[in-house]
Amino acid sequence: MESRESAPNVLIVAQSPELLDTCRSVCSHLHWSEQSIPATALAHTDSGNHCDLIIAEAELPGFEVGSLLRAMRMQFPQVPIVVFSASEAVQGGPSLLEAGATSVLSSDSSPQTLIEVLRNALNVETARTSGLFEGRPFCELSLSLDTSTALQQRIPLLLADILEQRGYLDKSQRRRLDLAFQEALTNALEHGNLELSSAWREETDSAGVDKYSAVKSLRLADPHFASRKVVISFEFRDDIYSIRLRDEGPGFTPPPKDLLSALATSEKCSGRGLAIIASSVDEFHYSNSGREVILRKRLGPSAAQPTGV
Amino acid sequence: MVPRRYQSAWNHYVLTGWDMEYVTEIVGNKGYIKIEGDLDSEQSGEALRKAFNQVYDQGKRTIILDLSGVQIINSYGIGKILMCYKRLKADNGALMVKPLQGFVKETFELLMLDKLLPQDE
Repeated sequence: MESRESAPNVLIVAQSPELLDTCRSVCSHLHWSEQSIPATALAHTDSGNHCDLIIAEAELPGFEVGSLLRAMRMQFPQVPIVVFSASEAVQGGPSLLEAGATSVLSSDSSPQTLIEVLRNALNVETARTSGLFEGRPFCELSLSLDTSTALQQRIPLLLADILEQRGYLDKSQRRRLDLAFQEALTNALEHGNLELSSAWREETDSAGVDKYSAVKSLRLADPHFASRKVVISFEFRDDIYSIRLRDEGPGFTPPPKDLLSALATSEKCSGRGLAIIASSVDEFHYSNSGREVILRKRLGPSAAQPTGV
Repeated sequence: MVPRRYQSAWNHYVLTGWDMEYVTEIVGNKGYIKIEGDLDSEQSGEALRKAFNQVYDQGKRTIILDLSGVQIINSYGIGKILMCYKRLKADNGALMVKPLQGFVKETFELLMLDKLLPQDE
């Protein structure tokens, strides 16, 4: 972990007034000094000027973000670069990492998420541990979506393509991880943000339609529930792939892990999601009263087999 | 979206596109349901429910699921299968599965569903 004796200097390369305001507010909150420049001035910026972190906007008019990132990476080879991207464009996040970004997050992320990502980016260990992204052993992708948007699309397991290409993840592991992620995401969206009870799956009407489906439709039409966000972060650091999900629901108390086996093998129609997650990752735990979950899986040749439920 | 409709050799209708339906067949006193695609969504769960009701309403209490065409199954899909299992069990019937393979087989074994749902060889 890098030690820091003075406040970081942040270079902001952005044009959007909202993004500039957010970045400046966050830097002020953290007591970091910042300087914002237009992308056109980047080429004239002396790379010898001390700069600890760069925040860049992906959708700068007139610029192709990949080329911009490669140019910034050449000019500032050791400086972490955090890229803001529109939610839809974050699907291209892995290519931004390949081009030189250290972290990518969606442009409507909350200041809290931005603070976390910036702090993580500055805490990058300098030792080369994996060489995954040209010597940068850490990368993170974060996106923030409202519930109705998140449920309308299948959120992919970001970073998995790169990790599979580089031999850190095989197809079977990827399928298991994807399943665990989808289970955790469903929990965050449906049980968290939409406050749907698993028990409702067993309450059916005369036609066999369950209460769960009926209430889900109603809540998706209610902005109070549908607008609640889920923040999803994918991180790869020191051969450990982490997925973090945070919802805005009321929270819950997860069952003790030693009961997961019993729940998984009962005849109840619900309760298997946590067992599937537990069997697919090396570690998972809840925090923030059950509103946040982190899944971790060690990858690469030294990875141990999961211990199961 | 206009659904495409065609008649199969199994004497039933299959709609693809907007409305999902699974192929069903009656052979003797058994009903068969062939599930295609992933069993991990409201749409696929609803299709299973409809197919199950179709066979159940014809009086069949031994129903066999063919999951050979399923790549991914999650807790939602498993929950739907168990609803079918419980309904048949309440009627002294049985829910069975065709021999499983791949990811679905792994998941069933992990959750010990292979002990609950016998295989129809």
